[in-house]
Amino acid sequence: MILHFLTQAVFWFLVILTVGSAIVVVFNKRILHSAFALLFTLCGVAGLYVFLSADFLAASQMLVYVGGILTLIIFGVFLTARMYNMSIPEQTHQRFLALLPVLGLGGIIFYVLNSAEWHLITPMVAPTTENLGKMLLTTYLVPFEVASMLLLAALIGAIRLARPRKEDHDD
Amino acid sequence: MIALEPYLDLIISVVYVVGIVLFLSLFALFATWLERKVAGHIQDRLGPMETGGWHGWLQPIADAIKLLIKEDIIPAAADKKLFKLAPYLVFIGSLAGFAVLPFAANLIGSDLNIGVYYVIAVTSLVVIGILMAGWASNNKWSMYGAMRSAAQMISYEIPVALSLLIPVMMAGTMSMVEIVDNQAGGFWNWYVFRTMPFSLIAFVIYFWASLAEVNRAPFDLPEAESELVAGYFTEYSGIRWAMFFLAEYGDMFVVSAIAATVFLGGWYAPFPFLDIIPGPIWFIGKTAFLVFVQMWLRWTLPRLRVDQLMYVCWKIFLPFSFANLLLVGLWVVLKG
Amino acid sequence: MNATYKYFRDIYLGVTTVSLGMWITFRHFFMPTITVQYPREKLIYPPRARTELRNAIESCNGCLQCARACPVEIIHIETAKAQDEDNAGNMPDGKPRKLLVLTFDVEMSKCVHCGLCVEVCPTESMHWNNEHEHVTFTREELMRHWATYPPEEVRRLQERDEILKAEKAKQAAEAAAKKAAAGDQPAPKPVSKPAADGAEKPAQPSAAAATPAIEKPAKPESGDGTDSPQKENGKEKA
Repeated sequence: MILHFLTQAVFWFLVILTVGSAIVVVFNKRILHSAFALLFTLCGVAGLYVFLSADFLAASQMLVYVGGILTLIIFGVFLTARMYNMSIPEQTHQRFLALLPVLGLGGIIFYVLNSAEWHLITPMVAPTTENLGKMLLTTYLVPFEVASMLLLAALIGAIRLARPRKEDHDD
Repeated sequence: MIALEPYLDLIISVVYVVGIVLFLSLFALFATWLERKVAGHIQDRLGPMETGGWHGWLQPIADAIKLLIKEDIIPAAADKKLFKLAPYLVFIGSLAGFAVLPFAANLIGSDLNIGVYYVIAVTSLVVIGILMAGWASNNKWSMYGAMRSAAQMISYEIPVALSLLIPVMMAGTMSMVEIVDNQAGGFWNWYVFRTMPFSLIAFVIYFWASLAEVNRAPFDLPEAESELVAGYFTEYSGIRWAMFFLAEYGDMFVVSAIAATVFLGGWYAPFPFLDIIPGPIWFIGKTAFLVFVQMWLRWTLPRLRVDQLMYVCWKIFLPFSFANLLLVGLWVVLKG
Repeated sequence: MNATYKYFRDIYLGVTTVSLGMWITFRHFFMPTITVQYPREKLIYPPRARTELRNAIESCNGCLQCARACPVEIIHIETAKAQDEDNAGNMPDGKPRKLLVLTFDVEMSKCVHCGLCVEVCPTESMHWNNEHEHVTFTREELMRHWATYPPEEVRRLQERDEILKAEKAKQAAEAAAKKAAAGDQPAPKPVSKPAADGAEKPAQPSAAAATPAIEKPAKPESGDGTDSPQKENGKEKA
């Protein structure tokens, strides 16, 4: 009874953390507060993955999104000029035009949510890593490799762009 | 009287968490004392000698009390919310690592089957906390410290992960308990001595890269006193500063404990007949020894430059880690 | 090729030099420490270490050389001529004491530890005492008093000195008058004699000025001629 209640409480805490900080991300006027609020959204999502017995996915979420992408975003904001008093424009221009994509996107999401076949999983105790590893190296090898190639290309491209040119060096 | 059985797990977890926090605090107290003693004796000094009589053993307690009753100053120009939040985030990131440290076969917070991966993942919280602290302080030194810290932690996460992969490959699992179990029976079974010299190189790379992960010398650029006052916690004082300090020493323990777990046989004694001494003592002893080596290195080596730091990571540790990984992979495959 | 060689050489040097450094610090870890646990153990200073001034008052002859040598003028001395009734005793070198040192005060808080007073002291009574812990709660405590005369005694001796001096001046005036009456013998020459006998030369013109009448009878005690200027000098400084 208490355990069930606690589990529910943690679940709802995670949901509120995720959604609440997502709202902060969207509506906060200071861009860095938004970036840091994103941290809690990502952590909340990782927590929800744990509830789905997807421990590997949760850890990956933390590693990739919090450790990688969020840090990159924050670095990006840091390296922007005038970061201390940067504010996002508050007013919404062209409300009616904006309504169209919003409605369209909302409709798609609603349709997906409605048409998807939801089924409750029984919490798995067996590790997911073994299956994940096998599938990544068999069934999903090609997508996996394509993604790696893409990232490698992006890496090399970034280094090429960041590298000073020869003529710059001569000075 | 309500029946306790259904809640036994819960109660044990709560007790364990409280115990870990206590352990972390005690360890940090001990480590500050040890650090000053090591520093003193390496420089032919004595270190603290007065407080408490015997070799100043009460000095950390005195320091802790001083920190607790100090004024908590928040700079007027600081970003107050983030400034208050950052130390907790860093501390949580450090504390979360303790959850998977196997003090003994059944003395572990949670034997996750992704144990090693989990530790690497939660350290990213520390990076965010440090960035937050650096930015919220509204101080150029804090900012530089935070940027340097984040840059080096992200860079060195790669060699750390790659060298941790080697014992994971050899054990065929990421669970801490199983990795340790595979090293039972004498020090020649420890992963650091198997597949010589690859795992030894992996161990060395892990240890050095973990120094950068926890911002220790010679990679202590983020808090370089001579350049940045104290780096990202320049503006912090009192209890909030103590949180950073606790997190730093907690991190030292975590990285050393992981090295002890995956390379040095965890709770197993170096010789089977020594197994009568309880596992946690071996585990903490090995970890404390590695912590001592960290301190020893700190008082031996000067601080690196930023470009040297990056050179060591990307041009030395990374290629060697990859070569190591391939060779050990080959070894594992050939061995069947 | 060269770059490859340098790369591996750098790694090799990195590993070896770090090991060497760690070996050195490891040895130092077990070396005896050089720390002295100060309040409990104390270093013995070399005998000429400039620590704290001390005047062995029993061997001080009150010559004022230290007070003059002092660049910050922190040594204050008052003396009085010793009379038979004082039983002044002898100096350590066996000669009878000629001056009573009434006050000998040093403001240790202002001392610059230059050591000039120690250098000039003819009797070596001024010396470094090999202690450096002159820590006090008030500045007044840093005022060192080495003379042993109580204040009323000091006053009495000073007054006696004044009276004696006045008497001597009167006697001298009378003698001069007698001399002048007897016949005018110019006496610029003997002037230098008593002064030269005295302790210090620069006081010579003032000695001449202080004793308006010039004569030689006041010769029995050699310090005689210099007594009064010395006295004035000391007072001025105090």
